[in-house]
Amino acid sequence: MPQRSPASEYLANIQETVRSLWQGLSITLSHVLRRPITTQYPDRTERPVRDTLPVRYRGFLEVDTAHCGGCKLCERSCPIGCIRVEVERNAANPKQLVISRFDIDYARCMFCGLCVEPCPTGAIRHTREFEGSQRRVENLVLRWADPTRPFPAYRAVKGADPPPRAPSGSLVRAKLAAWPGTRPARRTCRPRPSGTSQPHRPREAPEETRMRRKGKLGVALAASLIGFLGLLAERVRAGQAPHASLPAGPSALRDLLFYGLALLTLAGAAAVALSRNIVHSALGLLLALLGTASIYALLSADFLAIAQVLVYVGGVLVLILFAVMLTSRIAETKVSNASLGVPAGMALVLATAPVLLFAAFATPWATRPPPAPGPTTRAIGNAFLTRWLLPFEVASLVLLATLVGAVVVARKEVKRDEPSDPRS
Amino acid sequence: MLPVGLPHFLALGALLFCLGLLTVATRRNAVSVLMGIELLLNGANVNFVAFHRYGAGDDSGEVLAVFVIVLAAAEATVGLAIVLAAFHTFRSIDVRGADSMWG
Amino acid sequence: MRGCLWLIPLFPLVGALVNATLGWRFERAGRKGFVHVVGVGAMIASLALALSALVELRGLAPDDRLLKDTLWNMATAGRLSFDLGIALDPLSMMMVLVVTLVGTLIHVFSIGYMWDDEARSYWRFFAWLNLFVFSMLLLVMGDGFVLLFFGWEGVGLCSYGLVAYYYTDREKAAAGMKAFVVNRIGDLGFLVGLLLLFWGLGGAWPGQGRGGSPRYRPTLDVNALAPATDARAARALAPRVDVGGGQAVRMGPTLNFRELRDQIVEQRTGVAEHLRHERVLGVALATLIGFFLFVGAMGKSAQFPLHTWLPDAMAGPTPVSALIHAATMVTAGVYMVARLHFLFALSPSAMGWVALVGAATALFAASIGLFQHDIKKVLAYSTVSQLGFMFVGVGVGAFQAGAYHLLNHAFFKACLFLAAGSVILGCHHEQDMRRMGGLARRMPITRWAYLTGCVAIAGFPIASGFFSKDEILWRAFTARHLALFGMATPWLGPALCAVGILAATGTSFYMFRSYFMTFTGEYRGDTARGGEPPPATGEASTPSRAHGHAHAPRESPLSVTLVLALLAAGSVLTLLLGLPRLWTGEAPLLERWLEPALPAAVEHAPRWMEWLFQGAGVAASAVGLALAQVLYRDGRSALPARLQERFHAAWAIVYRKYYVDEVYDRALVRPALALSRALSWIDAYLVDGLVKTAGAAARLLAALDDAIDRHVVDGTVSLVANATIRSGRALRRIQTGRVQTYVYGAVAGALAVILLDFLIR
Repeated sequence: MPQRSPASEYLANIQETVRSLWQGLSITLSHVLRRPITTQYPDRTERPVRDTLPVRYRGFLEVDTAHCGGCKLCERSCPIGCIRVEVERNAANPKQLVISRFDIDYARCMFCGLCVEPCPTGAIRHTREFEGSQRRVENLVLRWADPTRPFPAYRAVKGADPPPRAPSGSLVRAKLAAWPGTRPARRTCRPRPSGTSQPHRPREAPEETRMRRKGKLGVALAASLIGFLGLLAERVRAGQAPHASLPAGPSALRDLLFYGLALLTLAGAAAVALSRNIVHSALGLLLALLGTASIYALLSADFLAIAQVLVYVGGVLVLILFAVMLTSRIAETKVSNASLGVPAGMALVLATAPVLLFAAFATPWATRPPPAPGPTTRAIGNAFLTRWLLPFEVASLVLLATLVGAVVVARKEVKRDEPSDPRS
Repeated sequence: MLPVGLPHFLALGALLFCLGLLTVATRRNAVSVLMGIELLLNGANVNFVAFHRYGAGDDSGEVLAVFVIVLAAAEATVGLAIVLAAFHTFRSIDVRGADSMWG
Repeated sequence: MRGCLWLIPLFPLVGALVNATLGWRFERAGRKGFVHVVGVGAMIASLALALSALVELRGLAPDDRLLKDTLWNMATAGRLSFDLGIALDPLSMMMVLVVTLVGTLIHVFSIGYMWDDEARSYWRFFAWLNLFVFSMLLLVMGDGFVLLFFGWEGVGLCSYGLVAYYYTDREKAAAGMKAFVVNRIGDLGFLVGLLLLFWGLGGAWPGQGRGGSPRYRPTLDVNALAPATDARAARALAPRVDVGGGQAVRMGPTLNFRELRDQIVEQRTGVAEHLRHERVLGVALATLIGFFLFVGAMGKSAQFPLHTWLPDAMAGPTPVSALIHAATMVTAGVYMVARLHFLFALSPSAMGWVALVGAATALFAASIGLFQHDIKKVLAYSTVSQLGFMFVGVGVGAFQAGAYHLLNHAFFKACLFLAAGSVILGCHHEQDMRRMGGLARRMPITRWAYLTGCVAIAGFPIASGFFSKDEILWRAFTARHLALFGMATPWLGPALCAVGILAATGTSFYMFRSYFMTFTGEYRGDTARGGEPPPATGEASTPSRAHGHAHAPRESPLSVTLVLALLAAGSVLTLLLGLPRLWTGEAPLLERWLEPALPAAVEHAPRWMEWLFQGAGVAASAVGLALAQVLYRDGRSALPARLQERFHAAWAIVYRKYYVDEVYDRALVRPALALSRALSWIDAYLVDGLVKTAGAAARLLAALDDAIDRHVVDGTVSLVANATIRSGRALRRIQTGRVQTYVYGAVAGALAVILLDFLIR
């Protein structure tokens, strides 16, 4: 088909709409069912964190009482003194030593490992356990020996095998688990098989999309608001004094021209106010200024229109663009968020606009029929040199001061003994 | 379509003013705030010119508008110079940083 | 001398005060001797003054023998006024001499006895002793009931202080309390009697009560005394009854002995008639008065049933027993009855009652004394018994005989007690007679003194006791005027006499028993002897503390033996004062001396009967002596042990003092303690509960106030402050320092002004 008929185009549009709607919503829903990125620790870690720690990690100390010989080297070497060992003679068998007390104060232990080193049998050693919160600091003193049932000190027997070792961390874990207040980690979802991890695919920043949508919405709202306010003003004005009528002419065209230019101007201003990108704001400003110039032209202020273009657009805007370029190296300003909140600003605007509009439409302006359009340059020039001479001169002084001041303010201090900043 | 008259131009000026106010009030970037100030001045200028055209006064409207343009240029210059100086010093032109008068 | 009578009691008082306040300093400074110098010195001074008063009294005519010293007017209430007055008439003189003489001797004895006493409060002993002598002197020298009662209570207090001398021992302290409490019961009776007398006399304010028989109407109005400004004027204004001879008896209620006697004896006053005829609950007032006054005497002089304190009072040191419980305090009751003889004479029932109780007590105590083992207990019961005799004497009207027996008893009982003290000292504080024996050889002076005392108390004519005891019993035998409960009982006299003779036999028996057990035979101190264990704790006696080491008993030092000798001599020599008319043909010396104060009895029996009677008395004593000798001499006879086993039940009853103490405990003491516990509970929980509730209420109120103050008042203040702070903090947020905020502010302000303007216009 070379050309679609309006009906089929219409239907195709509807189709397109539904499809896109469906796609979007399905993407949304798919995220609901997806695994969260957030890892909830410690319940939903894929592996116990202690297994991810290095083997020589200095966690809680563990005493294997089957291997402890009662030499007390660990107690002596501890710089803080958090180990307390008491060795006695067995009442029944005086030749045998028994250990009646082996307390380690984990609140004081700084996990330096100075006690582990001198231990000849390796009874005391660090584990990879690090989770042992208690509600009371007194419970952090672990008693590895029971005073009512002292365990015998280990003596190496020639030729015999040493007693078997418990897995690292199992003893202290048992002791910690025995405390009230610790809960075993809960695993509520399938752990991923270790070794495979999902590749991190880059996605579009959802924030950007949302912000975009917000911006468009804001624009539509602003436009409709302005239209609504205008209608309102018209209603108000309908009950007031008759408005000044425009001079004769193709008023329809004039009006249309006015509305179009006004819209452009306002669009540009809206871009300045609401755009995310500062360069877009600058361009919006350009549009607004040009629009204003054309409004001046509409109002038969030809000199002013040109002056506007020359000075504002050619000077100020360029300056602004320069400034934007010079200062936009910082990432955050590129996204120039509204700080005090667009709602607050909107509220302010919504409070101010009706007042001004009401003033504009409801006031019975004393108008005169506009003079015939003609060049105004001569009149302005005359005015500058006759009636407005002093302000004219003062303005030139102001410009001079501005020139000097701007140079002074913006100049970078050059220090004699430092190289200047290459970035400036 | 409404026949365009003085109130419409005043309305345009008012809206420009409001948008400029919005910009000044909500923007974080100092340069954006300056842009907003330009909008404000432009709105006022539109009012001046409209009154010159439709109002019952003399021709001081255009002259004032010229002055406004001049001064706006001057002010933009100085403002941007200040912004640049602040940027040199603070490495940031976020207006939220200029709150030494806080409290 | 007339102006210095008050010095006689003053010296012991001063001595007591000095020892009480400074005595411990003397002891601590090492000058323990000062204590007894002060004590004995005060006594000697008092004795000297008493002797000089005696001389002066003797110099007066018999009818005028009265030395009076009125110091000042103590109180005047309505028609009643009484003075602090001290008077010495022959009876008081005799008592004063007894007290000072025996008292001095006992003080000297105490020097040797108490020097090494383990309580280590030498000064306290002498202070109490002096205070006691002061109270006793006040008692006997008082001119009226007030001073009498003051001394009465004072000796009770000092008795407590001295019996509970070893107060750290709970039993001994309890014995002291028992003495005081039982005395108090007696004192209650005394007070009732006194108040009845006072009421009978018309009281201080007339017009009230039911007093007044038609013939005895108080002849004056209280208004008559109204213009009186002081006691002397009141006395002057009081009405008088003329008795002739230029003398007048002052009417109206009085507490003075002489005035009372004058009022009662003089028939024209009508007081005697009134007291005899006035009836309270059907009993004559005079009888009631006499009965209740005698209750006081019963308490003080340890008559049945208020006798229980005297044996327990042996817990005090021996000199105390000698002075207080032999010679002086216990005789205060007898003195009182003798002093108020005119009052008792109004009521034959009262006198009969007195005599009956006295005789019953005499026999009762004698029976208990038969089996006691503790030597001091024997002597205590013998004291009770002899006091019974004295009351028999004054009860049947033989006031002088009773007073004479009092005098004799003072000497020989003091001698006996001190000898016993010497024995105890020598046996190292051993008081159980079963562990004594054979001391005759080792302590000869003590032995002879004790023997003299025994002879005296048993009533052999070679010592003084016979003469007074015989006189009493003879008078009882011949008394026909006695009555009981309002009914005339002429047989009461002879019956009492028989009882008395029985008691005398018993006295002789147990006294010689104690002599033989203590002094004859072999010394049993170092061998532990089987038999009855030492007295149980029911009797508050000093438990025997025999020392383990065989330290043979020795004679006591000179201060002790000298006193013993003097007292023994005294108990013999006083017989000279009472040689009966039967022998000498004229009245005994003492009778003549006491004539102005105490009426003499009237003779109306044939002389041969009297001789027979005297012989019977001696025979009774001899029987007792013989029995004692047979059973106890040298401790060889086993008969006592066999008899005891044979009649064990009867023996046990008597040995346990007829269980009087147990009955008292059950019936009186325990209920009283229960009541006191209940009251204490009420006080602790109810009364204190109320107080605590009030306190708690106050605290609650205070807490409430505090809460209000802290939360409401301070809260308001801090609220203001906090509100300021918070509002400041809130308002501060406007100053963000950001220009944009200020833009907001400016625009909003401008809008507000515009709107306001618009609205207003």
